[in-house]
Amino acid sequence: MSSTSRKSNVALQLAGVFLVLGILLLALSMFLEMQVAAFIGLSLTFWGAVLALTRRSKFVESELLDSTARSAYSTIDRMITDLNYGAQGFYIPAYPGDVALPNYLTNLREPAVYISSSFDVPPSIDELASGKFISSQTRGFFISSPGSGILSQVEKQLNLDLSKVTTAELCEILPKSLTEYLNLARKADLLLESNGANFKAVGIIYDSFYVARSKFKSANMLGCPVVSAVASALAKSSGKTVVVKEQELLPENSVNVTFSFV
Amino acid sequence: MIFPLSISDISLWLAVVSIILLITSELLYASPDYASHIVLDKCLLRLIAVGCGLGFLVTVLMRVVGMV
Repeated sequence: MSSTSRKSNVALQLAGVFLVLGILLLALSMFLEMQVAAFIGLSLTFWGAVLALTRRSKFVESELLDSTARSAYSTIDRMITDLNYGAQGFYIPAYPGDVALPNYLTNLREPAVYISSSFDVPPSIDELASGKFISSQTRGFFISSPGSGILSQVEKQLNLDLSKVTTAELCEILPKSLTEYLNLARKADLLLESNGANFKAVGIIYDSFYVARSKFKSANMLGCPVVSAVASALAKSSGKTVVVKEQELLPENSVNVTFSFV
Repeated sequence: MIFPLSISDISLWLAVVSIILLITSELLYASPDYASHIVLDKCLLRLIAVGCGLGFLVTVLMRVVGMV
């Protein structure tokens, strides 16, 4: 964090020097009617302004993101252990944002995960809509998807409701959004398979979730927040329930995840 | 006290600056692997590049209108 803020301060100081020198040279060029000084002054002022404007104002170290997400997974682990309803996470497809729903059904727009041992008896829509935690009709409980925040950022960035795109289109736009706009991984690929999808990310920022030392039961079941966001996006786009079937950590902070549709 | 640059000079300057910025922004978008190490708002950089390009076009239009 300190190195980033130091870099940021140096850029700001440099921008200030460029701006002051540029304005002085511009003023001088007007007094002396010197074309060369005007060009240099104009360029210095412009590049000073560009440097000052294009610095990113908010930046955090990826370790900080990891540590803030860990508490949520630790809480889910406690719930799984305490309730003992089984350990499989089913990503329920969220309703499109623009569909008019009565007030008591608006919870259906939130990406949710149903945790149970099986999906033979699907959870009741009423329970999901009423925002219940423990299902009284089936042996399972509902939580918000750990990747719901990332998913909403993706939708905001793309200015798109992912329920309006096909899964094939999602495979094109989601990896690009995760790498180019949100910088959550260096490279990402999402490929559709016969009854699911395969997601591969190189240089993923939540890699510590897959290290054996800090491995959570819930991370194994739901994936890290990025994987969780991909699962929620797949569920929303396909309209089907999605399960994280397999996850493996590869060299270079790479993750290979297999999703299946229920 | 007069500004020593004419419309033609500013037009040339805007053309050079917009080319530099557009190439930089394209390179940053094309290589996210490398760009992730640069603390820079790529969208704003592209916006400034496009703005400079438009500025250049405006100066060209001004010169064309001046000629006619």
